[in-house]
Amino acid sequence: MGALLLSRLQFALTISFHILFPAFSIGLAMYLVIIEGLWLKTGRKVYYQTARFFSKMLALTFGMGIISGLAMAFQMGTNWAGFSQKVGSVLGVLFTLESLTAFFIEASFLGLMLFGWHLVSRRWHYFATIMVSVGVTLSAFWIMAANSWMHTPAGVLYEAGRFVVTSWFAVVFNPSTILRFTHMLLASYMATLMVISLVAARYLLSKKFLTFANKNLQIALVGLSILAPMQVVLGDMVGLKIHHYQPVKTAAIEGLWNTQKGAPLLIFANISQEQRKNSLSIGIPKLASLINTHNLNGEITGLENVAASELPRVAVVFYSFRIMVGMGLLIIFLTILGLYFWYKQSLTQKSWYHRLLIFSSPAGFIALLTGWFTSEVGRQPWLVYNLVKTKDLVSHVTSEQVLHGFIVIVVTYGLIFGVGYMKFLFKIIQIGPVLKSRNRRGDKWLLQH
Amino acid sequence: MAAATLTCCILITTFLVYLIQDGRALMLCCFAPYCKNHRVKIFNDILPSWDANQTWLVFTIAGVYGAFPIYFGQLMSKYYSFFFLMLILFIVRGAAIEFYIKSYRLRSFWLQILSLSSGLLILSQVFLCTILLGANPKVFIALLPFILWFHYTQACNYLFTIKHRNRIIYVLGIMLTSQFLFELQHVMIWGGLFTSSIFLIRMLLLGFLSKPMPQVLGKILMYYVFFSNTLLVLASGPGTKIFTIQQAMHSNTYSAFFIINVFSLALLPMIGIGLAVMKRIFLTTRDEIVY
Repeated sequence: MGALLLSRLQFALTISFHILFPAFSIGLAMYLVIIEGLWLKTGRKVYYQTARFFSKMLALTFGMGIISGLAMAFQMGTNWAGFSQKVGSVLGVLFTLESLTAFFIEASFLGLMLFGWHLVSRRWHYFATIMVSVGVTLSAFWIMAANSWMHTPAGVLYEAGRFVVTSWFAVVFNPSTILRFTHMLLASYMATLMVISLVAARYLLSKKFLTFANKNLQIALVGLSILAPMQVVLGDMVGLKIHHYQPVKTAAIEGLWNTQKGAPLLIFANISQEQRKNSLSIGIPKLASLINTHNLNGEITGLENVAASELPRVAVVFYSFRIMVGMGLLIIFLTILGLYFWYKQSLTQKSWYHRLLIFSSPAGFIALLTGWFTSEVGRQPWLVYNLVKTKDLVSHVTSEQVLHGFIVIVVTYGLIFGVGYMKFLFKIIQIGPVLKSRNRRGDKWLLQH
Repeated sequence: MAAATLTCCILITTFLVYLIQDGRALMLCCFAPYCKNHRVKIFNDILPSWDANQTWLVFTIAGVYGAFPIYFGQLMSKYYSFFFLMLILFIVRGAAIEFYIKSYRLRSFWLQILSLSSGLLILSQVFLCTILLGANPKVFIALLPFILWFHYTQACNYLFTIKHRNRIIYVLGIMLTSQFLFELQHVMIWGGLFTSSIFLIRMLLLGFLSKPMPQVLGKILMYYVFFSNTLLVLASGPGTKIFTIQQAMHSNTYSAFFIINVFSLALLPMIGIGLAVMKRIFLTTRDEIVY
């Protein structure tokens, strides 16, 4: 394997691990803002218990996010020196702004939020929680602005192998930034709410911490019932944007080799990229046209005129998209079912539903990851769409060097993020929301307020 | 002042703040397995500001990436293996901190890993500074005892009670002597009035610092010593290489970095003060902080 493929695999692996932590942190931080706000307003113990419990999860996840994020910053230089040289003057500015605005806000208030429960007043603590949430959301905004610019570059001229910025506003607010940022934000919230429902379902099954579990499951269901329809609408809007700016990606998502009017939505297809056809496919007539053009007979350009060297991995894009949509539909189904049981006042008794929730809890993160696969693999072979190719940006390093690094990364990530993180996450869940503080002042503080 | 020069100064400053802030935490982590009585205090100090320390580094990396992308790409790919090792150390140390807090059965194992990875990170800090200053082995030799001494003094000054003072001063004495020899080497190798005068001032201050004094004054003096060391190395020759990267800043980023620099100059001191206030809050408690 060459340095290019190894570097791509390494980046794919590290970013796939990394993206899970910030997404979970974004969701948890927002959840804590709501829960702590409810506690401030009502003074009910269950909200305090919830805030303390999930802040433990946030602490662990946030730490993992920081160290896995460092890998991204390092790799931009070590493996993708060409990327730094060509694109650094555009994206580097956005990353610097991210550090200056988002990271420092997080860093300044995170310690206070996690450890300052007994040391500052309730209002100061709530302010710290809000600021952490603002920080992680801002961070997501800058990253999404940078990534969206790579999909829909704007505000630049490409001269002599380098980008010259003509408008920073156009760079930041390029045609897809706001939509993709909102789509990602909602995906993070939904994925987090699925984990929260996992925690609640687990306690309901084992008949432990029932008040806590019931309240959190209800909040998760309310959240999902609001967010899921919004996400469907947003997903549709993102699809329209992709069709407008990246027609090759749309064709890959739909598995269409020939330009068609009234194109079917393929549920399944056996895609052969070499022969440029689907040997077997099952589809719903006209649905792909309806989704992508909002017209039953709308035209979708196929992949027939795209050179082989400019094709993305069609099968990866095709199936990633279907898994993402499938997971989204599963979440909607579980939400409707949960709301129905809640309405029938049997939410706490349906143990099969709780088992189903536990089994389906990774759905949000699977959807999030496969959504990213669709987006990023669909953009290939371009790194900056239609301007710069990925293969031209890899560092001048030997494949042996990259291979050694890759092996070390696989082992380290597997052990630390795969085994270690999951072990300690489940340990937090196993211990549960016990208000047992080694600090006596903590209990006094709770009673005083 | 040109955008590139100002950016360079800001990035050098944030990098030094990282070295100072994380350096103390790294040295404290090195000590952690061996001073059971102070462990609560050590972790009360490290935990709330651990991610803030890394943020100074992330800001520096992002700043170099944005302002001097060609230099960034060349530097990182040239020293591929070193940066990879440093990255793994960062990951292992971060994980060790998190897992140490959560673990029961493997607590001492994670503590040892934390100590070892922190020690190696201190060495990699020295190596990183050497690379940034032109990869001159003489710089490495000059920086190694200085950075070790600096982090060690910071950690000791802050942490230890009078009970351990004799032992501390003994170790400090050895480090100061070695530092003196290397400082002398600075003057002999690179010469010059500026180098010699800084050397004299620094030696006087080092003498002062080995005596107990109010913590704030001690800290100010230590920071001066640290920054003057950088000035010394920069002025001595190999450091001038860093200024050639000004040419690597592309003209189209001038306007962006002008704004970033204004923000940095306004925000970074405030952030520094804010973090110091936060730290003060945590140091008022003798209990183990929990989350």
